[in-house]
Amino acid sequence: MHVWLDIMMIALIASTSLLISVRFILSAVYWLAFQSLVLSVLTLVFGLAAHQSELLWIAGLTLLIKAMLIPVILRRALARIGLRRQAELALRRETLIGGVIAMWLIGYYVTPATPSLVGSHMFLSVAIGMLLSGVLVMITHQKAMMQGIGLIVIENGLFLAALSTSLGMPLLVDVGIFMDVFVVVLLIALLTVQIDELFASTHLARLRRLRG
Amino acid sequence: MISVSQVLLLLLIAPFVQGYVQWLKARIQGRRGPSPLRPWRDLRKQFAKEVVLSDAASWISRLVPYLSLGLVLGAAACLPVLSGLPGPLLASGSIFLFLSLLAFSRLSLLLLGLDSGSAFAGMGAGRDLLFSLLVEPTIFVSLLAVGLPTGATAFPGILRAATVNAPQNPAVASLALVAITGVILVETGRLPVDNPDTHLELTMVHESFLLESSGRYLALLTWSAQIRQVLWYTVLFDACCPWGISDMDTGAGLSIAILSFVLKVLLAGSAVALIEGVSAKWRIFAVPRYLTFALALAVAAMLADAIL
Amino acid sequence: MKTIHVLATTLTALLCAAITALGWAALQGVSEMTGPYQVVPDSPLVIVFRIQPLAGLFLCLLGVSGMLSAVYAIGYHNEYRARRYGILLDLGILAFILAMAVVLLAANVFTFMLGWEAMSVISFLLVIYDHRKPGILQSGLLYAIMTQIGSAFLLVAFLILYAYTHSFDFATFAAEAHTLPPVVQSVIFLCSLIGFSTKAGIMPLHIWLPRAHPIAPSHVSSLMSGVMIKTALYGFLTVAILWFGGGAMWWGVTVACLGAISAVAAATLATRARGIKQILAYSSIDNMGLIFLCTGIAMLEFSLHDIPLGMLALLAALWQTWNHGLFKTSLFHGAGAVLYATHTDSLNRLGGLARSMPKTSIAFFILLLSWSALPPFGGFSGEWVMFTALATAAAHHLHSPVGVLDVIALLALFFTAALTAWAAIRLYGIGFLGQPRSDAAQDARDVPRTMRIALWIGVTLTLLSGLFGASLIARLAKALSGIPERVTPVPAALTNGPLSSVTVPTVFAVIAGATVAVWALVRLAQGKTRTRTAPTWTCGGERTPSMQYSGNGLSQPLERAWPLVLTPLAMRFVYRPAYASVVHSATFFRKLQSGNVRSYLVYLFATIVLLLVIARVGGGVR
Repeated sequence: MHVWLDIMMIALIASTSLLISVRFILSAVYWLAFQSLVLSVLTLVFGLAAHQSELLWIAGLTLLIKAMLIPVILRRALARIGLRRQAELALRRETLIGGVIAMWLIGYYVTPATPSLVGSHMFLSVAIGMLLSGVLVMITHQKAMMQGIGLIVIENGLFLAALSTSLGMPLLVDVGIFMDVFVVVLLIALLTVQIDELFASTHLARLRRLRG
Repeated sequence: MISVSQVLLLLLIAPFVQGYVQWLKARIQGRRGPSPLRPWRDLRKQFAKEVVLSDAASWISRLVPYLSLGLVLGAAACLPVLSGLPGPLLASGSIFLFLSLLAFSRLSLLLLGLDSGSAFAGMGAGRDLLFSLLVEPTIFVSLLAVGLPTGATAFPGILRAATVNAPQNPAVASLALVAITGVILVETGRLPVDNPDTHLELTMVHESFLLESSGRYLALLTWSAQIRQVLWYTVLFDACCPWGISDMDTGAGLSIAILSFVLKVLLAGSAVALIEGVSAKWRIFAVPRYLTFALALAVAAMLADAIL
Repeated sequence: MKTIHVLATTLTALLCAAITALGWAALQGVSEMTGPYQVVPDSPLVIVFRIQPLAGLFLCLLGVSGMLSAVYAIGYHNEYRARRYGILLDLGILAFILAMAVVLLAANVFTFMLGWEAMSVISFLLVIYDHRKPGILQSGLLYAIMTQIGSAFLLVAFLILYAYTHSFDFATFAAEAHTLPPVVQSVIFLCSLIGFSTKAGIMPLHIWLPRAHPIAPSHVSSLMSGVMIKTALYGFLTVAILWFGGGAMWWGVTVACLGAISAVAAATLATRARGIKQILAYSSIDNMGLIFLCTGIAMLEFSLHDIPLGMLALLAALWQTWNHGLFKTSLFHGAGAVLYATHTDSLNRLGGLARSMPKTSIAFFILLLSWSALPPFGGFSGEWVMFTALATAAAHHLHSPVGVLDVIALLALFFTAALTAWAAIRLYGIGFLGQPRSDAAQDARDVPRTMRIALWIGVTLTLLSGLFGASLIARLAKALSGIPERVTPVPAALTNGPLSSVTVPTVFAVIAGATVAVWALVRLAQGKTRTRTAPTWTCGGERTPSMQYSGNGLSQPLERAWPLVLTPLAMRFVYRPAYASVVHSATFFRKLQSGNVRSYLVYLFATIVLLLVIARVGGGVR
């Protein structure tokens, strides 16, 4: 049982590292879907182990919205501007992967050794690592859509942190957060298309021209 | 009593000193020269003449001639000329008081010059102010250098310090001597700083203030300038060459004092005439350099006090 | 004059009389406290007043100057009263005097800062009274800014003292200040030095003074120059000597050096200034420099435990404060009279006033003598005591490094005296003598009688200070000896020289007697003076007023001989670099605001990581 938890943990780290070092934006979307899938499975396991029906609902919602709906929206927006669009990185791939590992280590360092409710306390450190990696994604990628993907990674990290320390947040709060993320993704998808129509590129440097 | 007689002595002897210096200078320059008694005759002549005032002159021109002589006589009462015995003013004959009185007479003279609105006087005023800026600190520091080892800031004390300490500390005395001599040349308006014989625009400083005066006013002003000259010689004697000044009130002591004073004055006058005779007048803006050198000597005297 | 103006003037006069009485009582040794009055209940905002001997001199000065200004204002206000709200000027003067009295009588921080800020604000408003004229608001704003900077430093000093003594009372400060750690003492000293020297006009914090004094109405300038900058001295003396007892050696050396630099530099600038009031303003800075010089020497002597020498220097500083306050007040009144008669302040446009305004010009001449430290007036007495103090200190320390400082101080004193004489001769010679250089000067008539009365009272006071200074100094010395641990009789060095009650009157008598005797003798010998008038000699050509020397001409030799005096030192070495460094660092920090989303994210990221690490480290300790 614990083995599977550890495998899922490693899957999360791996997905984040792969996400940050993609060449094509589409790949990042796929990895994001994978990450959200693992997260929903994790939620299911936690829910079953702790006998909380709320968590089962939340797992379902995660699967539906984060693992399916959001990637679809992103893929469709990407299709409008060109599926083979490349991600522009500010640093080298290896450096970025190392960065994710470093974030995980920071997460490990700052997490106190409190016994978590289910599983090892590594989940909290992974969660903090994912949060910081999400910020790293936003910092090091220079295309507009990647900023949105980074935002969702941050949200995933927060979700995992709440899950591992207090077995998730109250249902209504979680639903509200899902709505928020959904709306954000819609906006990002919409705006990316518009920006591309205006500038024929979604590079962040062009966005400065939008200033008044 | 002593101080009154001192003052009278200075009053009477001053024109003669001026005449002597003029005569000796002329002889050195190869001329026959005017009689040493001529300043007396000039004074008598001027007192009898009428006064011509500028139409721009105010009450200053009427006040300053008398005030100037009064101030100089007051300053003379502060100096030990013949004797170091304390009189009413001599007791606290502080150098500050003495130099302030002379500064007062300088100020009144400058204002007299500016009163007539003459451009010559303005020029002379600017030059004289420049010189006095350096001369005042120099004379203060030289006198202090002589007096400070004994903590004296009054002339009787300085006299005593000069009599007692100077032989032990010749560096201080000689440096002070040179510095004060420089000051004398400036304050009495002698070559190479200022030419007392001409009234040309470029060559006069002190003479410019007297340009618009006439009659008894001119007589009074000239007389006070002559007394000032002797006062400066006396300052030199008090600080550096105090031989002959007596501590006693006796007749014998006094007569020696008078004799030595007259001799010293004649010597000083001769030295000044010699310097005048062989020098040409310096450019005005070369004078501050020379005065700064004199100030440096005075400060060096002070340092010599501190170190030795 | 309308009733309300009479009322205001009477109130001011009564207030000043009360203040003078308080000051005299303080000098007699009365030491009383009133208060505490709670302004806001149950808070540290209490008002406490106390009379103490040190404040006595300053209170007397305030009262006398205020009275003179009130009398002067009766005539001077004629132009201002015609305006709407002309009464505000009278009320402003009253409030100003009241605020200064509060500062001098304060016994705790709140009262002091209340009076200090009130003084600053009211004086700012009075300075910009003529604000419709161009350029006045800017100078006024500079004054406001500088004075606020000073107040900020003062507050810092007081708050540090509070942090260590847990009380806002001055008496507690006095008792406990020397128990503080030396570093803290030094910080307090530096803060209070900056705060007080901004108000006192010591370089390099003086730049507001020559710009603010000339633009204010003349009696406001006289109160500012005569009294307000002295309240800063009072504050500094309280902190440095009453509370810290002189402090470390380097404190006294710093203050003395600052004072010497201020004195010489300001006196040099005074010989070049263009307007009468500007010359007087620079001269105020120069005299405050001399006073601070003596204070610094006093602090140095106290720190070396040479109490008599220190007392001598302190007495010198205070005596010069009194005399300078007196003659500077009256000098500004005189300048105001010139302004009233000719509506111009610029030297190059004046002249011939000695003939058109004879009574005022005679009074101004006598004040000039006091200003240039000539016997037998007050200024001379002040400088003589300073000279005696410095020379005695130099003689005492002749063979030690302290003596070098004393000699430098003496040199500063001599140079300042010579430069002041230059400035005074230039002011009077160009401004009052000769021919009028403009129509305004030509049409000048003598000023109203009340203004002349105020001037002549000031003249009489300065003459009396000079003649009978001895007893006043003795009274002052006795009052100061009551300061704890400073028990000392009148220093002996003074009793022979300046303090001998015989010297100055004798000098006065001798000179006056000699002058009169000479006049009488000449008159006896040659009869009445026969005068004839003739034009001034101009080599035979046509004569115009512009042929006379101008103000620029008389200051030119100094500039030609030493071009160094042309560089504005404070601007070049203090203010421009400070301004440039502020702009530089602002430009540097502006780079942080790049407008780039990603750099803001980096800041966010760094903050989060830092917070997490701190939480971990802080929590981990537990």
